[in-house]
Amino acid sequence: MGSLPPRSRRDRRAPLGALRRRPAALLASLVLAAVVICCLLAPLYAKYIAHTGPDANHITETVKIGGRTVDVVSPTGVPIGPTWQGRFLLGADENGRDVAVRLLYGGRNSLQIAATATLVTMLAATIVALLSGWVRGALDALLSRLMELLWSYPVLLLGVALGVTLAVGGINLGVITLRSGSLLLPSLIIGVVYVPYVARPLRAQVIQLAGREFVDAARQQGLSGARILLSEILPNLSSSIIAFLPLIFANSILLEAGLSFLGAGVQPPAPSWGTMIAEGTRLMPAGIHLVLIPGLMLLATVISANVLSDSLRDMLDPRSPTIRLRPRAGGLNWIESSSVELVEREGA
Amino acid sequence: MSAGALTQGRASVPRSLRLSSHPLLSFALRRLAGMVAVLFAVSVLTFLVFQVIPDGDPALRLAGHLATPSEIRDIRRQWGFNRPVYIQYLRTMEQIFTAKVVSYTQQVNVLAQVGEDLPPTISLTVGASVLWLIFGVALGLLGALLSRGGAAARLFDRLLGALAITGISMPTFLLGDLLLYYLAYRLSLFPLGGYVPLSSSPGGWFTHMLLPWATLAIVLSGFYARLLRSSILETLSEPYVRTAEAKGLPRARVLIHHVLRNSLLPVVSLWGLDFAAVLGGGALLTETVFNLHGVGQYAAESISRLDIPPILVITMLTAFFVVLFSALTDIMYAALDPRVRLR
Repeated sequence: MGSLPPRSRRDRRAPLGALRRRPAALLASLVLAAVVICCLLAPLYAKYIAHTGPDANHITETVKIGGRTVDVVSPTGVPIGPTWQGRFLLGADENGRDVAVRLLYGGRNSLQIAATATLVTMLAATIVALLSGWVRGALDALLSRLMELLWSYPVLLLGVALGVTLAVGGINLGVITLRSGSLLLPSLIIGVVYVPYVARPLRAQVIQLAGREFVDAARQQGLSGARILLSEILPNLSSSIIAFLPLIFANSILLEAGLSFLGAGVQPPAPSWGTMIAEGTRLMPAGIHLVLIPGLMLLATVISANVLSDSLRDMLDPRSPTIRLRPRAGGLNWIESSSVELVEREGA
Repeated sequence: MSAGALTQGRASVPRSLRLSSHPLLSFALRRLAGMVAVLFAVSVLTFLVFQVIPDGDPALRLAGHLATPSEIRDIRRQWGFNRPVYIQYLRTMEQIFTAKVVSYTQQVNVLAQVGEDLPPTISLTVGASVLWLIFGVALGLLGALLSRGGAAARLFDRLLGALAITGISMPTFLLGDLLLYYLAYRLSLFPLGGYVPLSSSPGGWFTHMLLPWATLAIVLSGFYARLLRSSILETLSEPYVRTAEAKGLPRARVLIHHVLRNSLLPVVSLWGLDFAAVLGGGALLTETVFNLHGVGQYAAESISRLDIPPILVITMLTAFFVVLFSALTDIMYAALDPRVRLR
């Protein structure tokens, strides 16, 4: 963020100082950081507190609660609820696995997938935007049509279709081979799905910047196109890119959960918040804690990311033309119906 | 829509071009061409995606577990799975457009099944979209008014904003699960999912639809509220609003006639697109959680069975609705807002 060109007094403040003036953004960052740290510490929790692994079954075992001995999973198949002690802190699932341990390991998977997907989206979208906004012509037409195709394809159907297909047999792209259980598969799918949502507004911004005086000046100096793109245009896109990061991250988590819920994301027995909710749903109504616990964790993470995205948008560029909400079909913030696009302000 | 009136001054223009020089007509024609292109691309993409599945041989699926190799060979020949991919694609498309397409796994007519699944989906779409529009507009308007009020009002506005963000961040299947558990299972206020046709029991239909409606409405109205709120606040800073207020018009009149009318534009166009997406089976998760047996649930089940024909039909259906409604909302947008030109 430090490399941003100073635009106003607001921008010149240190980012941390600006964060302090926005308690909501500060709280959101703290919650996100806490979630990430907790999930990173999953192995320590599993080893020293829960004394079990994420996939270890304890279906036939018992646990002592306040002197009483209780089955981890009752003979009728009802798993134990939260015990609020080291073992089975948040209860067990139908296979007698420790929910707290799975929650943390599942969080690692969900966060890792969302983070990778966000990187894929931003990287691909930036490249597409730079190429099609700068080169224009046939390449622009081709890329724009491609983006429109992805756009008009129903997000969830596309993700689920790709997810199920690839989850069955993995993918072999000659050089790269991904196993069917690989976490990279859902990351790539989610990453690709969101590219058009970022690429289109960024492309509009590139086109706008390409007509500005400083780009003309750079051209007059004889700089190459690549050099202008990297040293003149890309830095001016950075605040939009940064504002997009938490938004895409939040939506990637949601899409991962939706895909996993439909069996097209993380493949069992590997946990993720989405698969955990799906497993809990199958066990309803006996296992409401199996839905509630990963659900609340997911909700806290997504809300924080969304709040952060709102604040970043205001903070980085309160009057920027690119940071305007404009409706568009196909589902960015929500997964099931449609969404709002950040796009260039219309002429007015 | 007289194209002649507009082109009168340009008599040299050939007759065939005159027709397309009417902005609305040429827009409609271009959109129609675009729609066909999108549907073609979507169908090809879907077909190819399922063609590359390593273990997705539909012949094996059709033949069942106890099939002999010769039976599988027969099925492959009978269904044309041994033909080149493009022939298979063309055959499937021909079957779709002649309403003869049959699903691989259940071997029922896909279009008939989709037709059977449409009533729950239409019920979901219509009820939920009305709810989320009403809630979204009410909350957005309230938020915009409160944000210009005193300290207490602004606090309440922030509360509404927090509520909206929570709605946006909520996965529909999680909300649906929780509503089902607490309201339907624990309190027995509603049935535990499923669908009852309107014709057989209006009351039953209503109670079965209320929770799915509420789920979609809660998740989506957050968006609409935020969109409308920011749209209103932006319109309020326009000079013409200040003019209207300076003329001494009552605040309420300025708000309803001058501000809201303009600010509703993006909301209404978003609404059209959401409506189309849900109508085309886009609400897979909600339909699945509430077991509505709608188009979306059919899509979800077909995908898990790797059954290509229903997936093709439903993706094309959704894409068709989305493209159609996006063209319609663009036309409406241009009709309502003279600054917008159809391109």
